[in-house]
Amino acid sequence: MKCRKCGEKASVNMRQHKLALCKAHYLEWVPEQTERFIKKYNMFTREEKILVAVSGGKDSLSLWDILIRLGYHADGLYLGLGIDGGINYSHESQRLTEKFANEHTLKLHIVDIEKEYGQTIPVLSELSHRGHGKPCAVCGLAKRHEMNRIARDLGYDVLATGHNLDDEAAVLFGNTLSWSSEYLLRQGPVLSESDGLARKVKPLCRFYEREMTAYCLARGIEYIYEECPFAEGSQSIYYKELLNQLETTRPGAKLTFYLRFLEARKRGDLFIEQNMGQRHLHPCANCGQPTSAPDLCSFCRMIEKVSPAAAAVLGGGEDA
Amino acid sequence: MNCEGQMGRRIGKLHGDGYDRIEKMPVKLILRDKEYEVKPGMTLLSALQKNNILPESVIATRDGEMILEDEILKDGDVVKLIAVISGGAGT
Repeated sequence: MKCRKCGEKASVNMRQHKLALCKAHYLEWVPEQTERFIKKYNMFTREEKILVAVSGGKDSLSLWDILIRLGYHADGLYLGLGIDGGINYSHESQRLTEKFANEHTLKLHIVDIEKEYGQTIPVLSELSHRGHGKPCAVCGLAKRHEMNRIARDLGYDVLATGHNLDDEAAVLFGNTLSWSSEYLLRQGPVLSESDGLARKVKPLCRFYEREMTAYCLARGIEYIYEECPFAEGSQSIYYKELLNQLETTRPGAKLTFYLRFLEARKRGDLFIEQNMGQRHLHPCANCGQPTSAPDLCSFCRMIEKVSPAAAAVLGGGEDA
Repeated sequence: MNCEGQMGRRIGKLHGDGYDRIEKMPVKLILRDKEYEVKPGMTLLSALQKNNILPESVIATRDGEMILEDEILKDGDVVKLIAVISGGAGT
């Protein structure tokens, strides 16, 4: 297969675009497309300060790399989750994130959940009895809470995450299976800033997961290849595998699924638009972040349950 | 007699019929801690399909370079398959 731009041997083939590119042209194409998505969805401008949530994985490190190559002001945030799983998972992912930051002379904020709240994510999960024996729900909750808190505390204009199209399509698939209208309503490349919530953007939301792996390989970015020890058998991976089966026989199916959803939402074609006004958020009585729960937000309820002293620090330290 | 040909590796001594046997080295596919073997001469796509590996879920590299599904696998190739799916809690 030949590169469409130069005719040399292609390294990456994107069947959904009917486009094959050599390594050099692929490394040009990815940032060009990212820039196009940033502008199309009005994610941020060159004057704004971006905080990139970096996990040491292929997507977030690629995102950070692309934004820097495009000339954006992007700093990193690494959350230490305290996951070992017999493979030193958190330690290794932090090492790779720090290595990337040092090699490119980038600013990286590191927040350790255990130091902040007294327990690692797996222990928080056990003590709070959330997530049916797996820490993924607690991990997601803690990451969302902490990323928002830190972006706001440190004065960033926008929080960028490395979600790719496979992530988005898997979430959309799950929410469609259960017709979770409130979640469908919230899904998109940009979650606007509102009282207490930083703007969240997903500049990689139109790239396949496969393309981000190819980007890391082509750029020589070292990322954590090992899967999170708790991700095995997860629902999101199962949905991704199902969608990849569909993609194999129908190239472009994942992209169409996601893009048609965004278009329908924009046109107001989805029934969920009628429920927009019903969503009511108010500040958490402890940390002040928006919540739909009556008193404390989910995160503060969890922390208060397992570590009341840490919860008090969270409430008092919110303005720090 | 020990020498290598383009299509296969000659091993062992001459047999009674005066010809030495040419044995083709299998192609090895490595995906995480699993190894698969296929015959040389088939495309990467055929090799993946034969082993029930979804092409969409991996990227193949040979000698550190990415190769595509139409690549003909050669005698003794070692192809590293890199899994692309990751998951867990959404953020």
